Amino acid sequence: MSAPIRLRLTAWNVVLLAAVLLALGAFVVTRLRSDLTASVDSSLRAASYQIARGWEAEGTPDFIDVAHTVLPGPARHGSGAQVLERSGPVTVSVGDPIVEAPLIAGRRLASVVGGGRISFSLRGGSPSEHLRLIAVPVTHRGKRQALVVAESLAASDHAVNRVLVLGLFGGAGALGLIALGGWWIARRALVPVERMTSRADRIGIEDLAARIPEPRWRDEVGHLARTLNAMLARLERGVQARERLIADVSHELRAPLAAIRSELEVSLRHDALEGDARAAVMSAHEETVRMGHIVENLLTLARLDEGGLELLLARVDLRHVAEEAAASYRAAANAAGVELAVEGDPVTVRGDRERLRQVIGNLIDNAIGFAPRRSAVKIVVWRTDDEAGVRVADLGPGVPATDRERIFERFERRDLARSRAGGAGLGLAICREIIEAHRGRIWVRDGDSAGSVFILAVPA
Amino acid sequence: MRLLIVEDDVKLAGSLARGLRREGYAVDLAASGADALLHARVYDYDAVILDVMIPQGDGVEVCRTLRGEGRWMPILILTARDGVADRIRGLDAGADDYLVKPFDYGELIARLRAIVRRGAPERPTVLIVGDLEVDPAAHTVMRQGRSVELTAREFALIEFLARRGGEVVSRAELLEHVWDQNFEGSTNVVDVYVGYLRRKLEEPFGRPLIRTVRGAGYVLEAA
Repeated sequence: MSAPIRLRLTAWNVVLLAAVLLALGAFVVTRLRSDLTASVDSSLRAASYQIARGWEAEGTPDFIDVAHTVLPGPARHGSGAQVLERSGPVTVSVGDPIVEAPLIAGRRLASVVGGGRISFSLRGGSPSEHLRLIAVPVTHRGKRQALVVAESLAASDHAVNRVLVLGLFGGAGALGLIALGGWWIARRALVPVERMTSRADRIGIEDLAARIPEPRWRDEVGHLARTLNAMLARLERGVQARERLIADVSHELRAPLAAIRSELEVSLRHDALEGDARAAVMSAHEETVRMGHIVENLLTLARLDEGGLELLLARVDLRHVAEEAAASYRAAANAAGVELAVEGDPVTVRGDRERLRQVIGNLIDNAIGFAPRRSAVKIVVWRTDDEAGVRVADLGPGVPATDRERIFERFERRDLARSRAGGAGLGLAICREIIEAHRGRIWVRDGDSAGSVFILAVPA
Repeated sequence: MRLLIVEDDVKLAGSLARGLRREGYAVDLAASGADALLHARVYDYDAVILDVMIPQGDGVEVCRTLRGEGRWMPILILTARDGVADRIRGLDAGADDYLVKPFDYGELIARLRAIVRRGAPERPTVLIVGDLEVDPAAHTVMRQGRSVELTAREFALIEFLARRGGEVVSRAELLEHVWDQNFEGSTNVVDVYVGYLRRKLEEPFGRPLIRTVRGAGYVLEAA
């Protein structure tokens, strides 16, 4: 089933998108944050310059004035300014209470007082206290000090958080859409494969000429179809070659069989054969006839496989055909101790002389096989208003009711029972095919007292 | 009675000759098409047994040639192929009967007797009625020397009418011989097809060919 493929495709799609979204999101958030921070830094620098100037010039009053002016609402969270000396507490401060305590100390303080400048961020006690600070060196009344100015990063934090939230929801939504859409697309993509599979499933050995329709695109699916078709073609050729071989071999046997049969029959008829010599020739003749029947059955089979038995329809006398068939099995009957009797009036039907002889012959062969010694096999030609046919009756064990359809069954073409070519197993199936091609019927019922009666009927 | 056996299988030919001589026939053997024609042109045979698979000339061609030369002796074809086309090829070329190998020698004798009994009238393979020529083997129809295109069914119909040229043929007979015996249509289809034939074979030539006999059927007549 393709579910794992569809699942895999969709899963990979989702994972890929998630990774991309994550990377993109991280990048955007980082840039945003740094841009926002940079903007705050620049505002802090300007503010610190103003405040430093005021402090250096006029001291505390100016410090407070300028601070109030340049800092965004000094009492607001996070904005403020303080002046620090190397040692000790805050000299002066304005703004958020946080600036009442020194915001830098130790080495950092020392470096600023010594002339350096630093920018840094600070997190306060509560989560909303996030400050950006700048510390610059100032000199007042000859004393070297550090001016620390702070601004809240609350606004920029808020902006970043909004982007983050939007991104998360949007990303989740996108992933969901991709999951559904991807699943649907995967299904659509695999529909041709499904169709191909079910089409291929229906192709069997009777159907080897069939092919899978090839899509126009030269893609993997088209390639699959072409490959399958190529394989079917190879199989078809293989099966045909096999069938042709059987037909060719059977056919080749006809000429030698004809020669042998003619020699033996002429000899039996015209030479003064006696005793053992006669018996030997008769025996050989019997076997030759039998071989002829096997070849005939095999070739009929090959023809049926190739897809069709053509009939040469002509006006045919069933009585005459029955007599011909009986004649060809007389020797076999004698050997089995069975008597063959042909009865009934001549009746003409439209049929294939050779094939009808083959059918009646197969029925007689079958009957001889099951008839007990010293019994008779009766071959009776009959007719009604719209049908005519032949009955072949034997006094053998009979056919159980459950098997009556099965014995005529067209065996699987794959059946290795081909090798039992001469056996009745082959013969009855061929009989049915031939009679049905004549638009007739063939069936079996119980004999009046014992045994079976095989009946064939064709339209009169 | 003098027989010609045309068969290249030496053993088969030999045994048939032996047997038939014992039956009282005088038998000549030929092993190739060329040899067969030579024999047939020099001697008069009462019947010919002809194998289709022979060297130097396909047996069916030999048959056609013999008929073409006005030799009408009974010909029995022997073939190893039992396909429909193979069986009728010989008949279409002018043979009288066929036997599929391997055959029963007794059957051969019986069939031979039967075709000899039927006699050897002129039985041309091309059916000619007036200016109409129907060649069943080649599946062609010509009128006044011009070829006419017919469908398979139309051909079968004109062939049957031509074989019974001059005789009235009933619709029922036509239905039985030209259409499949289980044809489920009405006898009207015969009239329809006769109409087609008339359109193709009478109108362009301006001369009648098939006459309707009221209450009886149709007859193919030279005008």
